[in-house]
Amino acid sequence: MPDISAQGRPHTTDAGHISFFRLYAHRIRRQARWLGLAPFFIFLFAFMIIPASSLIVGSFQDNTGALTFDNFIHLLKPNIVSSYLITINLSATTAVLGGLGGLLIAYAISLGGLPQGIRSFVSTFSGVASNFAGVPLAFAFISTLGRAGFITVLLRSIFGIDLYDTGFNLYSFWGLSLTYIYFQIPLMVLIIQPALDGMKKEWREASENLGASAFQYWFHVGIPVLLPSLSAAVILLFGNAFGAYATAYALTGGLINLVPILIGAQIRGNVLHDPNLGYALAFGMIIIMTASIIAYLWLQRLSSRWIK
Amino acid sequence: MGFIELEGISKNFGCNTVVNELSLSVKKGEFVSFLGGSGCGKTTMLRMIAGFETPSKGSILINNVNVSNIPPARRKLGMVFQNYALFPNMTARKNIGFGLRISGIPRTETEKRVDEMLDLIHMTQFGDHYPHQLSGGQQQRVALARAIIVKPGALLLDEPLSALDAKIRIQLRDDIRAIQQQLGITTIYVTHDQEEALSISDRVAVMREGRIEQIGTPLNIYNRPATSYVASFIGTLNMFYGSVVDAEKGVVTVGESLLRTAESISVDSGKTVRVAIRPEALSLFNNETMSDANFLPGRIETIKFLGSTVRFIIKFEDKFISMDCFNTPQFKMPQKGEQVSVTFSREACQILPGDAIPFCYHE
Repeated sequence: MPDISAQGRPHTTDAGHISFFRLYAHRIRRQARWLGLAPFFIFLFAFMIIPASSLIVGSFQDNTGALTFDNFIHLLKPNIVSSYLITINLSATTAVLGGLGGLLIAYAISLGGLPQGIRSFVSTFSGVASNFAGVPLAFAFISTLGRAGFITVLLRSIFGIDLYDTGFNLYSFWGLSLTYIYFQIPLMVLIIQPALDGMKKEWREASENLGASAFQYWFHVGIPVLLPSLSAAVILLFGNAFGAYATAYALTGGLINLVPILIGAQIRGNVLHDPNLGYALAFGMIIIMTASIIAYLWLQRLSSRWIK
Repeated sequence: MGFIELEGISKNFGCNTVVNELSLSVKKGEFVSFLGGSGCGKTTMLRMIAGFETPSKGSILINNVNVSNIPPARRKLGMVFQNYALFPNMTARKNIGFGLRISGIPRTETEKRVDEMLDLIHMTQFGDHYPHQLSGGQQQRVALARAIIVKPGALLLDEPLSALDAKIRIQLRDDIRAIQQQLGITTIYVTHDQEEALSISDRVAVMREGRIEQIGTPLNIYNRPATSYVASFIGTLNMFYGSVVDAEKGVVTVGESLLRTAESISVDSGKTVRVAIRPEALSLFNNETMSDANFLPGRIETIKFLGSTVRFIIKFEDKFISMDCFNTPQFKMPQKGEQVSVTFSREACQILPGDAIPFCYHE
């Protein structure tokens, strides 16, 4: 056997071999843990990073592929500005109303002392309802609150009330808002319930013990503690409504000038066809959504520090 | 008439009776602890005094006023919770001043009193810290200051130290006692920790199944337990079944050994009793042993070195005895398996009714 150490290589004992293999196995094990996340990163790269990058690049190009800022200048056209305003208005309205409705339900099941069974039922229902959006939801509303919908007909035949004579229209801004609120409320329940569960009973008792009324407790403690979570939840609802496409398209067929519908029209290319303008519109959406996500994460961090 | 009077208090949750006909009188400035295991009703009793629970029966009088149906906000009692319950959105200073602010005390007066409180709890430099920036011990100090700044009629503490490290616990319990004595505030303290209760209380109420099993000074509770439960709950205890031979002279047999007590026994001769002896009351036979002392022969089974003391587990007939000896330089350590004679005075021998669960020694 040649003397390895004599050849200038480090001399390793049996113990040295064992510790080397142990170290190597430990490193492999450590790296293998990341393998579990591989599908997520592949998905993220293929369906988010690449499309978003190509969209951003496309927004700075004209039809021939040359660099231009015209697409962004076109964003200032009145119909596009109005489209952004309507979308922001719809998203904000449904986020606030859905948030309020969801908060009341979540409060009732978390702090209202209702039986555990009701809490489980509402949580499960919220999980299902918050995902019930798009074309099925639009048709569900058409079949209940459309001109020939079940409830519309029922109200007319039994009570003699014509919903549409009262000014209600399912295919208008408020009709679309009502449809969005259907999935915004359960989403709010799911998001805000952990924050309400984190509200310690002892805070209420301590403030009561120090002579505070219920109003003083909510004014000084309850609302300030919940505010970051509430704001974060409303921002998430805003983002949820801002990106919704299928529900609005199936219900109004493009009657309401929303940004996602406008982007679809620009890229799909029926009458309007300017994919690069569509990319610029989408880039504007990305900026708004990114700002929402950053605000959401910051507020979540703030509230998790308090409610832990 | 005490400052706090609990008169026949009962509390039922459905069919479950948590507090059962409990009566207690607490004098002004007194420090009383409710001591007991989980589910004995001590916290429920404290919450009823605070007003967070309503008694099913009986009445609570504070300073001669029946407060049973008065809401907590109007009882003027300070409460410290187990998990501190500090408001997370306020600094230590704001937390302490909360009670004064909401009762409309002027800002300058509030600030002055908050400064005094921060000084009292030795946390002047932490006034602007939020609860999540403070350690558990510091948070509990702030909670204590918040409770006493409003000058409450009485202070209620619900296991305030149970979430803290052993070292902090000892330090903080001494601080609580010092502050209580400095302010002369009537205090009711709930704990499951016997050492805590014995070390800071004027009186300890040992609770079991919603009732007070025994109430007395810490010394009295430890040295003269009234029932088998109290005897077994407080400290380590050797307990044996015995038979009364001569009730008048206080003589009982345990196994084949004859033991003498310092007092006569209030149980008829021939009846079964329980004989309780503390491990620290036992010693090994030597030349200085009194001639009228009791003796039990046995063999050393286990030796546990505990630092300042050494615990011996000695087999006596079919029973085991626990004996503690101080680890002094003069102490001659016997060996495992060695035959010894354990001795103890007549006064160390406590006789209890013999109707409970038998066991040899209890830790």
